[in-house]
Amino acid sequence: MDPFALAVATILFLAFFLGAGVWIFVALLMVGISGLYFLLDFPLPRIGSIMRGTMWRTASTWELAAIPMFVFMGELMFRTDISERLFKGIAPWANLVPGRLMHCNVAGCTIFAAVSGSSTATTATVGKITLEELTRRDYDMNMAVGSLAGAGSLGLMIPPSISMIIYGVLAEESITDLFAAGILPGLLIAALYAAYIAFRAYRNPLIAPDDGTKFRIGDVLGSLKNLFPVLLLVFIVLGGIYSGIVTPSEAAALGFAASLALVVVLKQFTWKIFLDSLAGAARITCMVVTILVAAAFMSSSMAYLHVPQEIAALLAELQLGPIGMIVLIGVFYIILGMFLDGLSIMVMTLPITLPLITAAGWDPVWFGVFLVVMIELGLITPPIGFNLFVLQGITGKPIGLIARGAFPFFLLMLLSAAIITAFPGIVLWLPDVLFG
Amino acid sequence: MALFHRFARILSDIGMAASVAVIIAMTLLILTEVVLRTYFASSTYVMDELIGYGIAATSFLALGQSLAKGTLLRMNLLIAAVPHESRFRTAIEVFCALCGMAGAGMALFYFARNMARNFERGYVSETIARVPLWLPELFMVVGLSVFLVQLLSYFIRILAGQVDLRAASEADLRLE
Repeated sequence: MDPFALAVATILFLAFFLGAGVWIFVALLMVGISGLYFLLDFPLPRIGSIMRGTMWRTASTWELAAIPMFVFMGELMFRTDISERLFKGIAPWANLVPGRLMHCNVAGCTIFAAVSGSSTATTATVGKITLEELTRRDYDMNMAVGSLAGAGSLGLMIPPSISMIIYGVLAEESITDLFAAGILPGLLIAALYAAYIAFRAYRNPLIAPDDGTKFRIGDVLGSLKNLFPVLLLVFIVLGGIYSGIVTPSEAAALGFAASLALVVVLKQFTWKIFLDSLAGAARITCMVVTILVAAAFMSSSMAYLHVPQEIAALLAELQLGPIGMIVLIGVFYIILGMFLDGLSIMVMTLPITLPLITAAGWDPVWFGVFLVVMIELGLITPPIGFNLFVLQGITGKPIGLIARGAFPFFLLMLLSAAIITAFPGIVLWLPDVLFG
Repeated sequence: MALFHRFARILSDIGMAASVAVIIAMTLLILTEVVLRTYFASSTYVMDELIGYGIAATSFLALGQSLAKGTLLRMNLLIAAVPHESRFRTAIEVFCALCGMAGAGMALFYFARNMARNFERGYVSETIARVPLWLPELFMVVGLSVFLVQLLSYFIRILAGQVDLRAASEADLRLE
């Protein structure tokens, strides 16, 4: 079979197994096995040996150890009164600007994202309390749900971030650099969201009506007390990494211990909360690592089939410049994001897209951030958008309605992707300054 | 049969407990390393290696329960469009379970074979820890075995019509 037909056949295998609803990690294993067996006539023992080797190498990558610990932190916080504290801590400040308490969504997600590595945990934790409070005060529901869907996805961008860890492992880039690179783009997206909310509320005050609540100086000072626990955690985790004292995995272990100590000090520790958080962390880690491991096998099988080279050769004929290439890949990711989760997209496509991107002259750390923005977009696009699902779970509203509310934030995120493409320095400046 | 399903559930719970224990052990090991380095200018010298084994163990030991709790991702877009009470929907689920058994079964076979070889020949890691190489692979073998038992239990329940496929068609997203 000619190489191009092999590449097409592999992609058809992938579409078949994924479309049939096979668990993604199993589907990736099956694509790898079928590709080598049916297309290249490899004997089973040879396939088994390749499979075992690649699976073991990836599963025992020590940098991945940060994942269960960061997920544990998020799970633990989700089960405490931290969301209430975030709301009480931010509300007196937010009330001062147009949009008022609507800003609690964006600010709450931005702060919580700095202790949580996932967008679902961020959206669920912040949404648990803000949606109820905003509904009670007659805030515009569309805007409330939409801004939460958009801002919740910051969990992926603002470090610590599970996606950045996975990208670092796959692309063999420094996770510390990626953690530094995500901050400014994360804040940029948050600022765009806040500005949009303020603008809309300025034009139409009914979006965020004045309910007569007045916050006094005491409330503002008291708010700091409420924010202190989260800010302390942020300081321990990110401070440790950026000062160069600890690696991301070590910071994760410190964060694990610190969040546990915090919960004990705040008198919210129960064995049930502790064990449920641990079990949640184990299950998420299992889901993430098994997909990663199976994808490693599939991508080595694709390498035997020369799939990446074929696609690269095909794209080379188009003679796209760096910008053309990134736009094409961006569109490709947005379409994929409508049907697949971000993790699967990343592990399946990176062996193909990363060489193309670096060959076009883009920095791999920059591309890590760009890819995370693309995945964030996928989180709020129907029919498959995880943040939409989380919000459906909280509000009970139909997916379509939530997606409509999230659409302006989708456009703003797209704008931020364009901004970091036009000014890559926004991504690369901080890692440069911190680590040279 | 009920006894087998119970056995599968208990086995998955034990796997989960072991997975959680490994997370705690990894955290303690990393914290020990940080303390040794910061205050005693020393090191455990084995952290990277053992943590690598740990993350593999954590991930695979939790497989059985992750399957049972629906945490393992799948793409539901197309299967959600098939009426959940139809025969075709059951056939799809049977196919998925068979794929799972084939893929994970093959991985299990080659991991087990390699583990047995490492055990017989007494291979150890080429590091200061000199860990017998069969040991970390044992966790993979156990994890994959638990997954297969849980999957077999699921397969039998599908054939017996005891699985609510409506639930399996919805988004597999659980934030407990």
